[in-house]
Amino acid sequence: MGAYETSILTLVAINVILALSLNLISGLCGQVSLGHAAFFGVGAYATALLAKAGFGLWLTLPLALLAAGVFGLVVGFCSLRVRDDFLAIATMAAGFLFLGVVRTSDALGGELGISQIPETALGDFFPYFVVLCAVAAGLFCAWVKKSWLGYAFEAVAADEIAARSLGIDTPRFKLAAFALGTALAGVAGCLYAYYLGTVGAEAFGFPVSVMILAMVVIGGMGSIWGCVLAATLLTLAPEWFRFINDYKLLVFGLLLFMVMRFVPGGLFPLVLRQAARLRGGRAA
Amino acid sequence: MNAKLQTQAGGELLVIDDVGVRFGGIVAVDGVSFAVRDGELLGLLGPNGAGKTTLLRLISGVVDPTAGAVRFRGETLNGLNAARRAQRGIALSHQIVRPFRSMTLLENVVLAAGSAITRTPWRALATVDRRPLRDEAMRCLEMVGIAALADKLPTAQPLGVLKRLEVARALATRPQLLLLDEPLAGLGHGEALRLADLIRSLNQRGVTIVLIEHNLAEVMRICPRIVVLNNGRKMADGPAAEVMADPAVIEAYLGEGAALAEH
Amino acid sequence: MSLFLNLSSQGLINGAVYALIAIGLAMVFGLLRILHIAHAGLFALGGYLGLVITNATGSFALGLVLSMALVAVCGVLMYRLCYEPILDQPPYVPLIASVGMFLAIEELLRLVFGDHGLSYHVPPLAGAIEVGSMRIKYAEIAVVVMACVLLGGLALFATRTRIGMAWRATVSEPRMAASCGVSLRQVRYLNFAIGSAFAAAAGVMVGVLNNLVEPSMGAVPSYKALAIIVLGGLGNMGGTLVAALLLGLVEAFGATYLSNYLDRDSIAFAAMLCVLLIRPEGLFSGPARATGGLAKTLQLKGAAKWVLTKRPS
Repeated sequence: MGAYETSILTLVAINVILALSLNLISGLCGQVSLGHAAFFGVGAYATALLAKAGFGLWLTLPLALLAAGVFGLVVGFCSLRVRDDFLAIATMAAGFLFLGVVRTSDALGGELGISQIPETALGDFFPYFVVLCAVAAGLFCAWVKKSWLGYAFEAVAADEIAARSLGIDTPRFKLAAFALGTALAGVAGCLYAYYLGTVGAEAFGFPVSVMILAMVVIGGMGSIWGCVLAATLLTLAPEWFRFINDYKLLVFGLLLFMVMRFVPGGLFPLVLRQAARLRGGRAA
Repeated sequence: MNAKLQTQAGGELLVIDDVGVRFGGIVAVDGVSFAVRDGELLGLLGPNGAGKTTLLRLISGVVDPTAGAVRFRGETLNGLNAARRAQRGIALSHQIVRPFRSMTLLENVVLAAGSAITRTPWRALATVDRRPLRDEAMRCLEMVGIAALADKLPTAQPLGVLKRLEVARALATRPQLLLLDEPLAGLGHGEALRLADLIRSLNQRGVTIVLIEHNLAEVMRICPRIVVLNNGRKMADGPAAEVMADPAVIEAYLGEGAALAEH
Repeated sequence: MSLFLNLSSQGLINGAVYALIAIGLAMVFGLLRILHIAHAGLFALGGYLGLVITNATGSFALGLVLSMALVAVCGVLMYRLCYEPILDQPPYVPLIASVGMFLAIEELLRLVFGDHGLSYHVPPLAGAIEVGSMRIKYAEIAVVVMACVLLGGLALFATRTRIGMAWRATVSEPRMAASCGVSLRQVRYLNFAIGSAFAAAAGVMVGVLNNLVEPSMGAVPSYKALAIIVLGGLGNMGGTLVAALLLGLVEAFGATYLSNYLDRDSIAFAAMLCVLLIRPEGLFSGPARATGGLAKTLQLKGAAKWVLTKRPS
C-alpha cells in the first residue's frame, strides 16, 4: 500500500470513529448534537499538548479520551437544563465557545494552532493501529446497542415521558450517552492529531460538526454499519470527485438535501430494504 | 436504595395529606386529603378542571405540591422525580398512549419488565440478554389480552390495543400502586366495558389501583370506593353508591350533562 | 464617555441587523419547529441581488425592493419544495436538509459571482453626520430606521389585520386555527415570505454598510440569530427583538473588554448559555401555554420563583 492509500485509510478510520461516537449520542439516544466537533477538538488539542511535552501514545490516548469525556459531561449537564427544542442550538453554542476560547488562547496556539506534533512510537504501524481502533469502536458501539443501555437509549430517544414512567432516569442516561460519545470522539481527536501532525481551530468548527452529523444521518440514525458506510463514502467522495473540486461543497450540500428529502431514514436502511426485497423476490 | 417498607395487608399505601397546588394565582388543588389502602380499587372523579389531572401529576411526580405532601408507604415523595417514583413502585399508564413506536408490543413490555436493569446506566451496559424477561412480558400481555399481537408494531394497532399495552407495560414493572389515567377515554362502549372488567380483575388479583376516569358508568360499576374532586377540592369520599347519590355531586355533574344512571 | 456612546451606537446598529434576520428565523421556528439554517442563504442571496440590481439599474430603491420581493418568493418556494414534504419527519431531517440547502446556496453564489465578493459601483447612502464627537453614517441610520419600520409594520400587521391574527392563531394553536377555516399552507407561505424578505433587507443593508457582499456572509450572522431566538424565548417576537438589540450591545462591549478570553463571534453563544442556565426558557417566555407548560415550570426546584408568563405585546 502506498503512502497515499494508507493516508486515506487512516482518515477514513478516524471519520468512522467520529461518526460512531456521535451515533451513540444522536443516533441511539436521540440527542441531536450540533457541536460534536468540539469534543473531537478537545481530544486533539489535549494530545497535541501532551505529545509535545513528551508523553507517549499509551498515555495521550486515555487522557484525550478522559478530557473529551469530562468536557462532554459538562456540556451534557448544561444540555439537561435546556428544553428539547433548544438542545441542538445549545450544543452548537458549546462548539462555538470551544473555538472562541481556543482562538484567543496563546497556550493553545491561538489562530495558528499547534504544529509539529511528534509521531507515535508505532511508526509505520500507526495507520493499522487506527484501523484497529475503528474496529474496536465499532464493536463497542455494537455492544452498547445490543445491551440494555441501548434499549434504554432507544426508549429515551422515542419518548422521554414514557421512559421515565418505566423508571428510566432519563437525565442520567442522556449524560451516559454524552459521556461515552464524547470520550470516543476524544479518541478520534487524539489519532487525528498524530495523523496530521498539527491541530488548528478550523478543523473543529461548526461545518465539521455538521459533517459528522450528516454522516450519522445519511448512514441511518442508530445504524452501526450505516455510520461506517457513510463515513467511508463522505471521506472518499472528495477524492473520487477531485475533478469537480470546485463544485465539491455544492455537491455535498445538494447531496445532504436530497438524502433528507427522499431517503430520510438513511442510506443503510434503504440498502437493507432493497436487499430484503431482492431476497423476497427470489424466494417468490 | 431504601429497603422496601412492608405495608400490612389493608394498611395505607398512598396518603394524600392536605395537598395544595398553585400556579401563580390559579389554585389547581386545595387542601385535598385521602388515603389509598393496599389492595384497593379507588375511582377518582370530577368534572373537567376539577384538578384530577393535577392530582395525578402530583402522585406520579411531574409536579410537586406547593402545600402538603404525598406519602407512599410512609415515605414522602416530595422532591422525587417521576423515574424515582416509578422505581419505588408507582406505575402510571398514560391517558394519551405513549408506546415506543420503534419496538414491538412485546419489546415495549420487556423493557418495562427490566426496570431493575435500567436503574443505572452501568447495570444496563453490563446486561445484554433480553430473553429471560420475555416470559414475564408475555404473561403481562396475556393478562391484558393482547398476547397474540406480541410481535406487531404499535403503529398499526387500534386505540383499544394500545390502551391495553399501556396497562401491560405498567404491570410489567411489578408496581405496588397502579395509576390509570383515563384508560377508557376514546374507547367505544363495548371496548370500555371490557377494559373496565379487566381493571377489576387485575385488582382482584391484588394490584392496588387508582383509576382517574370520566366514564361515570364504568367507574360506578367497578370501583368500590370513589373520591370526587370539584374546583380543586375534595367534595366526596366513600362507597360508590353513596357518593353518586350525593346531591352535591349530582349537581356538580349535571352541568356536564353526564348521565348518572345505575348500571 | 464617547467610547461608551460609540459602542452603544454600534451595538444598536448591529442589533437592528440581527433583529431583521432573527425575526424570520423566529417566525419559522415558532410555526414549524424547524431550525431554518438555510435562512442564512437567503440573507446572502438578498445582499447579492440588491447589489447586482442596484449596479445594473443605478437605483438603490429598486435594488432593495426587488431583492426583498425575489427573496420572498425564494423563501416560499423553499418551504413548498423542501420543507413541506418532510414536515412529519423527526426534527433532525429538516435540520440537515436546511444545512444542505444553505451550503448549496452559498456555493452557488460563490460559483456565479466569484470568491472575492462584489462591491457597489456607487455606494448608496454614502456620507455621514457628526453628532458630538461621533460620526454616524447615513447607512447606519438607515438600517435602524428600516428595522423599526419593517418590524413595526409586522407588529401592526399581526395585531390589527385579520390575516395577521390568523397567523398568530396558527402559531399558538394550529389545529384550532385549521378547524376555524384558516388555511395552514397560506399562513406558512406568508410566514416564509415575510421572514425571507426581512432577511433580504438585512442582507442588502449589510452589503451597503460594508460595501461588500461575499458568499459566506450569511454564516456567522445566522448562527448568532439562532442564539437570539433562544434568548428571546420561544414564539415571542417581542422577546426576539429585545434579545437581538441586547446581543448587539453585549457584543459591542464584550468584544472590546473580553477580547483576551473569547473571540467576538462566540460572545453571542456565551451569553446564550449563561442565560439558559439561569432561565431555561429564555429571557422572555413565549405566549402562555396550557397546564403542560405550567407543570413543567413548577418542576424547577430550588429557585421556586413562579414568574407569570408574559404575553407578546
